[in-house]
Amino acid sequence: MASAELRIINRRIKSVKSTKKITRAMELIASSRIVKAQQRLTSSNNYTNLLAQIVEELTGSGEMPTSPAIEGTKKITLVVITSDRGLAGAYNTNILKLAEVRKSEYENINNVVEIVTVGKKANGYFKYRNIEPKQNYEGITDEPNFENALEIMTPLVQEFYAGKTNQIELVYTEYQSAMTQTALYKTVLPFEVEQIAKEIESVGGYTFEPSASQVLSNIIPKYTNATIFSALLNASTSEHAARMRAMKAATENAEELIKILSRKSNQARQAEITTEISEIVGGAEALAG
Amino acid sequence: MFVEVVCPEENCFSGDATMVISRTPNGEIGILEGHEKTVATLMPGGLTIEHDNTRTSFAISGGILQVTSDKVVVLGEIVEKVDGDHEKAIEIGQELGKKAFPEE
Repeated sequence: MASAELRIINRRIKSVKSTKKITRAMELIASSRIVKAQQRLTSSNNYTNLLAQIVEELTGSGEMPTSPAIEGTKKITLVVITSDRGLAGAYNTNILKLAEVRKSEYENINNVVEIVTVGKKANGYFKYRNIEPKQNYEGITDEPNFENALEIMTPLVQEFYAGKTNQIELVYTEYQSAMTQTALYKTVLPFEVEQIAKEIESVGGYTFEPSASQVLSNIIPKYTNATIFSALLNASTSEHAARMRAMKAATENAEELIKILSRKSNQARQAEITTEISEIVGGAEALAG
Repeated sequence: MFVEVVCPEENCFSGDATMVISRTPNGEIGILEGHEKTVATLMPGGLTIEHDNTRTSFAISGGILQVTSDKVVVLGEIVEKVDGDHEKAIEIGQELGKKAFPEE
């Protein structure tokens, strides 16, 4: 019969092995999703860049409006994008930390900050701290589509133009490469030309139909929608990348742990055999004596 | 001329075409080779591209059309390929427009 120690170690090996299977599966799922997410990100970037290019033509035409400066207390809406599920390493922690920093920065200069959350993790985080998010969206971040972007953005834009909020800022994770994702913030409204029209050469000489200012007022909502859609895609791609890395590390740790535990198990088994032999030898000697 | 139809989720169309038909707030617009450089707002409705002696129609929830010296770029928010003619596309596109921007 196996000794108690041996049995305990073997049970642990079994449990670590099944955990390893789970983390390995999650790693594979994340790595297959990341490819699709990346493709979507590329085509959305294509759209956003073309839009930015047209905006640049318009700025060349001198039709760009400037938003009036707001005196006194500003109402700021922070849109915080996290994931619905955990097990993605420091992904959610980083974004929530940045959101918290932005929030206190604004509050220190006497602004009112409202929170809109995308993803279960952000919602839970703020609720736990007794901050009720104005609006919460779930089930989007795995595979965001453009309707989701409209769903989030349309009410916010209406509030912005009704003067209920003075600034809309996104806090999300930008996907730079499979290894690097950075938490960052970006102002969507009021609309700033500088942030998008950089480095694009103006050609000029366009006719506008019906008129430059009308084309422009049509383009701004498109641009804000595209911005949030691209933020959602960036966040989703980053989430998959972060999960893939976290799960890869977890699988490797499990392997390491299995190695250590099997050594211990072998040791325990050997100790048991040695004890048995010495017991037999001892018994035989007693009889012979 | 080279025509590209781009929406945020995918590239809907990309290739050589002879004519692009759609509607701006000023009315129906048809673009042929050598059109002057234009940026136009598109109304919710249809977008038809004539290429290789066939016509491909899309329903569009509204968008921006840009004509440069060498190509035509259509940026649409929601673009769906339609089995049918331009009229059918207009019908579906107007529905799309209402769905995407209920306040307008």
